[in-house]
Formats: sequence, structure tokens, C-alpha cells
Amino acid sequence: MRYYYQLLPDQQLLLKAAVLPAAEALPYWQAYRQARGVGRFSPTDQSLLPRLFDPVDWESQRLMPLIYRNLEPTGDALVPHLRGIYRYTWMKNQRHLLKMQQVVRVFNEAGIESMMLKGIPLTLHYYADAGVRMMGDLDVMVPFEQATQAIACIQRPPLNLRVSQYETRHRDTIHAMHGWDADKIDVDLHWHLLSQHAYPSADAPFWNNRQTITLPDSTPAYMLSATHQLFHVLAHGSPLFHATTTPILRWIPDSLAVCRRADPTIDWTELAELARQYGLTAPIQLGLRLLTDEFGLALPDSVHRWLHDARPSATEQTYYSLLPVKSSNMLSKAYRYIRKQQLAYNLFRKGKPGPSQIRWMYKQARMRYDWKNHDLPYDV
Amino acid sequence: MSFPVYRTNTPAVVGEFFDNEVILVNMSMGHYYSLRDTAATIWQGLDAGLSTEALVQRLVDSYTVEAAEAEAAVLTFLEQLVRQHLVVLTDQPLATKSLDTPSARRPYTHPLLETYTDMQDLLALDPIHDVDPQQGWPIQK
Repeated sequence: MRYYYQLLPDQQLLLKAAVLPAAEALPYWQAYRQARGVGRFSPTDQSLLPRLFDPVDWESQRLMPLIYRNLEPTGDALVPHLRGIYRYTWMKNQRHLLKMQQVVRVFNEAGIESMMLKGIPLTLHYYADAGVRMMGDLDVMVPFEQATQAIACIQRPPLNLRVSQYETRHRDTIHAMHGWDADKIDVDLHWHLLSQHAYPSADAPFWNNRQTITLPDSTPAYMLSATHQLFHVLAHGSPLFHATTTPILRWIPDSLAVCRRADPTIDWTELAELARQYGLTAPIQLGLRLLTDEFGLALPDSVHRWLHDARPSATEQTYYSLLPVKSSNMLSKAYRYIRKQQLAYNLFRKGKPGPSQIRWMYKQARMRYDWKNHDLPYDV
Repeated sequence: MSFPVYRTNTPAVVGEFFDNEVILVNMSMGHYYSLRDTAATIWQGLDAGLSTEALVQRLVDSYTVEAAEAEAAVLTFLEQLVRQHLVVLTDQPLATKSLDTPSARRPYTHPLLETYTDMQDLLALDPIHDVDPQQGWPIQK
């Protein structure tokens, strides 16, 4: 079974305007302008920015700063009007960066190992531009063995982050928890990389191959290796996991940024092996196919062969085919939920340290049941 | 006469160059700054490690301005940057990054430091609906 994903027409236009080389990208931006009725426009029209932004989903809106930077040299008359959203993104990201520096410094001083995930390392190392990728939060991972120490540490001065009782209660079932400060900056503390793989030893390859990076204030820090960064971006953003919610688009420019910056150092054999080991062959293959088919990502022949020949396991195929299915009938909904949890256990948890299948499924159900009374200041 | 030498106040101040503008933020003060045209050129020179004399010369090479006016403008602008803690005096030799040679002299405008002092208020401003359609954030409608 092969998995494909169809982007919406507006998403396609904006993504291509954002990530293709400027000359190739410009016609897609111009097509988007036409579709929004701003092929011709008055620069002082008060509705100009709302007409560009409002008709599309939040994920598409998030592409605008990258479109600005990509198309800045083309001389397109509308592009300078995106400069404000670039400035805004840059400014917000500076606040995030400042907070991340503080978090890493505090962990370093407390003897807690840490590794930055997602937005900050992507921004600093792969995009090398603080204004192109909007960040909603910060993500930092600590070793599972130091999670208790780290959770206590983030709640003490100088960080003083608040955490939720709900996530604290379900700590041994989840892979990460939210912490937020007085300015509502959200710092997500991970003790596992992937939500599906929340058990001791799940992250050994990622810690073993972590890469050093120096933050702008000279704080030494770590991030995932290029191969693991790509693996994480593809797995975390996969449309297969977001089939019933708003699709995430940022994994597309993120993956391309990683591949363009780190191409020679990506170990494609390891990527394929990780995908198999972690039950993520279908999401990883789907992502790479979309990147090659729609965005011209050049892959080695061996990867093309893997995409063509390697099939996800039967359990994977059944699991991922069930994810997008919704039902209004309570009985079939309950059946599908239990079936999905059984498959998830077999795919991600079987043979791993942790609770028995029945106990694990009970914990998942309990967490879902308790969600209606959660005390997080936002929906996640 | 030789002038004092300044360096950008990194890492307390961070900035980004794009098009004909530099944006800066001083996180400890919570201030945001925009520098355009001549102001951006001066900052770019400071970032590259140019001496004050070299900054003046770069302004003369890049814009239609006489040396005396450029010198006065650079010195006044540096004073503003010092007051905002964006640059600091240094007695260390500066490492210089290479800069593009100006291709042609552009019309001169006096260097301006646009200062926005309340970061929380700025970030609360809706960057799509509450801003000037030409300038964009942080210029309010």
C-alpha cells in the first residue's frame, strides 16, 4: 500500500512560492495573487494584507515570512508588503531565542543534559534566518532519567515556569509537557522525542549522535544530528498523524531546509532503518515522496529504490489506514478506538520496557477521559 | 583628529539585515529598532567592524553627501546608538568583514533611528489587521 497526500490548491501555491528557487517560485506567488484578487492593487488599500492572509489556514499564513525572504530579490510589487510579517516573526523569535538560551543555561548549570528540538535549531542552523519560521513554542529534550529533576528545575527560579496538573498526573504516559512563563512563552519539556515512543531507552540513537551548536550568547547547546532532524521533522509533521485535524505544512519547508543545508551528511540508510524500527516507514516515505514529486527534492538512487520497494509492515498499514477514519456512531467509534490502541501498542510499544498492553491501553484511555478537565491555558 | 571606535553591543543586541533595512532588538531594554537607508548602511559598517572614519567614508561613497555633512551625521547617529546601548566604545582592534563596494551614489537622507519602546505592546499588535498596509508591522494603521 502506498500513501499519498493531496495539498489544497492555495497551500500548493504558497508552499511553492516559499521553497522553490525564486525564479521558479514567482509564477506560483503570482497565481496566488490572482486567486486573491490582488493581481493589481493599490499599495494603500487597507484590506490588502487581510485579503492575502485571511482566506487561508493558519499553517499557510505561517509561510508568508519565508515567501517574503524567498521572493525579496524578484522585484514583485506585492512582496515588500510582507515585510511587516517578517519583522513580526523575527521579533517574536528573538524572544523565543532569549528564553531558550536561559533554559539551556539553567540546565547546564544544574547538570541536566539537554537537546534543543524543532524551531530554534531549525531557525539557527538550517534556515540561518530568525525571521522566516514562526514559532509557537520552544522545545527542549532532557534524558528520561533526568526528567524529574528537569521538571522541578523549570518550576524554580529563575525560570519559574508553570506546569499543568493534568500533564503532571499523566507524566509516565506522555513524552513531553508544557511549561509557560509570565509572558505566556510556552516551553515544551520533552523526555522523549516521539509521542509514540515514550519508554526508557527510546531515544538512545538521538542522544548518541547529537550535534553541538553554540547559541548567540555563547551558551553551548545540543541539537539532533542532521539525519535525526530530518527523521523528526518528517515523522512529527506527517499528514498521516494529522488526518482529522488541520494539516501541518511547516514540515515541508523544514525538511527542505534540512536537506539543502545538510545534504551530504544525511545518512539515508540510517533514516530508512529508523523508520522501520520506529514503525514510521509509511509517514517517512509519504513525506519524501511529496517532497520529490511536488518540490523537486533530489534524492540518491538508493532512496528512490527504498521508496519504491520497501513496504510498511502489515501492522503499520492497518494502523495508518485507520487513523483518518471517523465515525459518529458511538459503538463503532469505541471499537475503532480500541482497535487503534491495540495496533499502536503492537507497532510502537510491543517488546519495549513499560506497562503491559492492557495497562498501557488503560492509561491512554484514562488520559483521554481526563482531558475534559485539563488545566492547560490553551488547547494542544 | 581620530574618533572613538565603537562596536555593536552583541550579544545583548541582535539584528537582521534585509533589503534596505536593519532591524535590531535590545532584549534587556525591551526595545525594537528599525534602521533604513543611511542608518542601515552605518549599522552594516559597524557590524563589519569599520572605524568611525571608515563609516564616514562609506557614507560618502554610497550617497550624494559631502564629507563634512557625513561626518556630522555619523557622529550624531553614533551618539544615539550609544544612548540606546546598541553600540559600545572599544579599544580593541576591530575584525573587519568584507563589504560590497557601493555601485553608485544614492540620494542622501539623514540617518534615523526609529525606536519602539514597548515590546509587549508591539507584539500584541495584530500584524495583519492593525497595521499600515504599506509599512506593515510595527507601524499601526
